[in-house]
Amino acid sequence: MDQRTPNEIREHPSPAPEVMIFGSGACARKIAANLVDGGVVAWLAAGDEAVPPTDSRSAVHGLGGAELIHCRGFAGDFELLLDRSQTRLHKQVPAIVVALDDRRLPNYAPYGVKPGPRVMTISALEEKLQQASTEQPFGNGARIALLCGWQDDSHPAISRRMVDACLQLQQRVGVKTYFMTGNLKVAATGTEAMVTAAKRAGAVFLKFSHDFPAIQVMADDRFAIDYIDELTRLPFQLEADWLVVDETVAPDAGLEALAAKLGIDCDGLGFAQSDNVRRLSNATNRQGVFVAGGSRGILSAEEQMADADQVSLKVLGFLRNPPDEALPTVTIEPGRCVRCLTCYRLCPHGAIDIGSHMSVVTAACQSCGICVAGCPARAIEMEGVYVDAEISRRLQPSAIAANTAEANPPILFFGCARSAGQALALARRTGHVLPGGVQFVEVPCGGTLDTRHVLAAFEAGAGGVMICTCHGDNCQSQIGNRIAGKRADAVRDLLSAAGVESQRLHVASVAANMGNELTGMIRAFADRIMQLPTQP
Amino acid sequence: MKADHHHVAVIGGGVAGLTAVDALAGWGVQVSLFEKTSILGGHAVQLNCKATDACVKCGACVAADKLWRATRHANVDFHTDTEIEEIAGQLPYRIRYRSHRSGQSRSAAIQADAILVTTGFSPYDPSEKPYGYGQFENVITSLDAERLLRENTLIRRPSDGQPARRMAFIQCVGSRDARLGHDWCSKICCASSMRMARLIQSRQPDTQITFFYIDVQTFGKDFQCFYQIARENFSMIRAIPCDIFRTAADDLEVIYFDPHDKASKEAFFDVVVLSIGLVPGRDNADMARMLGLPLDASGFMHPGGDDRRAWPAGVYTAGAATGPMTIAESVSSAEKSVFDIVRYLGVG
Repeated sequence: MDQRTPNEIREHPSPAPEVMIFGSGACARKIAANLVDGGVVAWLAAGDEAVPPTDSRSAVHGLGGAELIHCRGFAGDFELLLDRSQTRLHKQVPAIVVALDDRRLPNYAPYGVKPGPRVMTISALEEKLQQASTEQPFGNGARIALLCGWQDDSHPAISRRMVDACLQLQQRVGVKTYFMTGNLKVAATGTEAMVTAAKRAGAVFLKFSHDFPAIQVMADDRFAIDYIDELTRLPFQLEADWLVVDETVAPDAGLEALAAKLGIDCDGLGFAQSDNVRRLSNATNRQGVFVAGGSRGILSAEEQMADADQVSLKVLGFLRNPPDEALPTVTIEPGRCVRCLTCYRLCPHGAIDIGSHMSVVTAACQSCGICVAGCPARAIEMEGVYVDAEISRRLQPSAIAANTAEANPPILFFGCARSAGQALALARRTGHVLPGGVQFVEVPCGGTLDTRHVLAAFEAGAGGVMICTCHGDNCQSQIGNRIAGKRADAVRDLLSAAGVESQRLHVASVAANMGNELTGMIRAFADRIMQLPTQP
Repeated sequence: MKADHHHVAVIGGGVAGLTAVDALAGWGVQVSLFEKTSILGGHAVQLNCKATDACVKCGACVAADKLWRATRHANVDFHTDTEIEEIAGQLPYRIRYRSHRSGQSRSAAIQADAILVTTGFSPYDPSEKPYGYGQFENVITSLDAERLLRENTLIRRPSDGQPARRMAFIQCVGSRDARLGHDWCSKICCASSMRMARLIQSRQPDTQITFFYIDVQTFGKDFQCFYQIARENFSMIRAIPCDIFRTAADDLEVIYFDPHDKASKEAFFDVVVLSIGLVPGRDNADMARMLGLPLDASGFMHPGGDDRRAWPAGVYTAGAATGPMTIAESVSSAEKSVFDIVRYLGVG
């Protein structure tokens, strides 16, 4: 039985899994349709009213004018509170998809022009071209200048639309087009062929490298464009009747706020996916939260439709099975935990539950170990990962004697499983071996290393400690490598205070496919350590 | 993961094929991967990581990751050193293949409910260009440069092993080329060469690098920033050279028309890297014929997608076989095809 208060609706979860999709555009609607085909009930939520109304035949529920108040819970069991026309709606869903459309912002200022009756955006031009079939929208003999990225480059997805429009315009009798650009972006499929066709139809392509045109508005609202032609180096003036300006693609105005409420990272441009190849194609830093289309980056219309299919595959797969990577589980010992919330603040995956006991939610955890190392009470353990014990084991005199040719102090090399661990495995497969005296301790992520591990290594007799993580921006947990670096800095301060050379601790980064490079780095470090005077 | 009774054949073991194998196997489908060479990973897995002080998102590690993931599934069988001889039948398809492993040639067949073609691209062979590739040792392709970097972590002149202090990159070799009928941009070469150039400079800081280009394509979410740094550290010449000669001193003399001074000029380099384009896979025509697939005007396969008139049922394409694309795009393309296949098979 539903519990209803006047302004609150709390629904019981239906037998079919439900997914909340934020978005109202074509991409979001395709995701909804795909999920429904896969036996899922799909909810479409967006701040605007463009969300289609609930379709009782197809199990797509529309929530137009809805705003997310908060998101609690974790992968497989998110609790959402939405506000919609003064009514609060609670939804429990196992998965969330962020698929707001991007915004197209016309570029006027980069060309020194202002909006006006004879200045069209590319979107407006496309609409006009779609409407007018036989009629001539611009008048016979009209000269149209298309402005596509001068000092700041345009983007292949935008440029393709501009070139396509240029070709269509040029193919209509009596119109003369001038395509004025800095770098001509032809990377989007088919653009180069369209450029060739446009030129054959009479379009003039003008490219600029250092000196860009200057546009003046004449008395009759037409334009005088002064430029230096790069082929002849001669000055020209083009009189244009119309200007078409390109657009910058930006994320939806509400995306950053939505991402913050969902606990997902944004990139430098405000799209809701870190600029991190490990997130490809549709993952975020949180299990169960997916991102697609114009919410994850600059994608063309076709790419967004394909993205809708890709993310649907991931979501349906997620709903069928938990993540299939056998990651070690992380547990918090209630007897030692002091509820300082350090783990909660550190966790890059939003996997810590503040309940009557603090706990790590297995479905959300990605086993980076940042909380394990960061807990001041040492109350957190990762199954099967015992770095302290591993350090002692590796630096046992018996272990060292078996591997060292000379009587040099051993070197302990910490490597994260996703980069150094794989690179070492690759190196071994291709016949590269570690220098004698180098002991390897693999950790799930750089973040698993604490300052005490590094100190323990030196105390156990290591002459040098090297930490190798993924490159910056390449960490599966986004910040694991940075945290490892910071902890190493703290150790270096302690080492200096104790009179130990700070070069004995080295932090580096490597990619999983660079076995040769890694072996070289380890060798170079081992050589440097051998040069240092022996420790007492 | 409960087993499914469907069997899917993936032809081509590059990053797109491996992505598809991982995704399909995750849905419980039995997958057979066929690869004509002896290694898995295609071209992408041969690329170096281009990170300098941080990741530049080239995707090379993603290819290695997809390979690792694909090999973890129990319901996948891999057939390297294997060529497809014939694909017959309607549905299920009967695929006859010949394996050349361990020096023995053996023929066998499987039945497949769906086929995914991910045979990738062929790199353009620049021997016909007036750049002396194949005659001058120090004229190399971008793929040759990747191999050198992988082996030595530095670029040394192939002729005498000396470090390359003056390097030139010539872009668009075999792409955007009307004479060759290659009316396309190969998409990845601006990114790949500029990132490689920055990597080289980070390892050999005194290397002077010159880029001969037509236009610079956008790559990565931080392109404008990267491009700014690139322009500060490279000499950018907006012209494509017409000739390369080897001097008596074993330098490479590059002749080009300078757009600023409107004059023919020469510049001297230790090594010239030709950024070769991606052309349709050599096997595309055969594979298309075997399967009854259309090729586009450039010779690439069609991606299929939602518009599938006159397309044989149960046959899909993905990755660079359908046109030049980045590693990230190949992954996406494969995932999209797996969505279609999973739908088609009624598995999900």
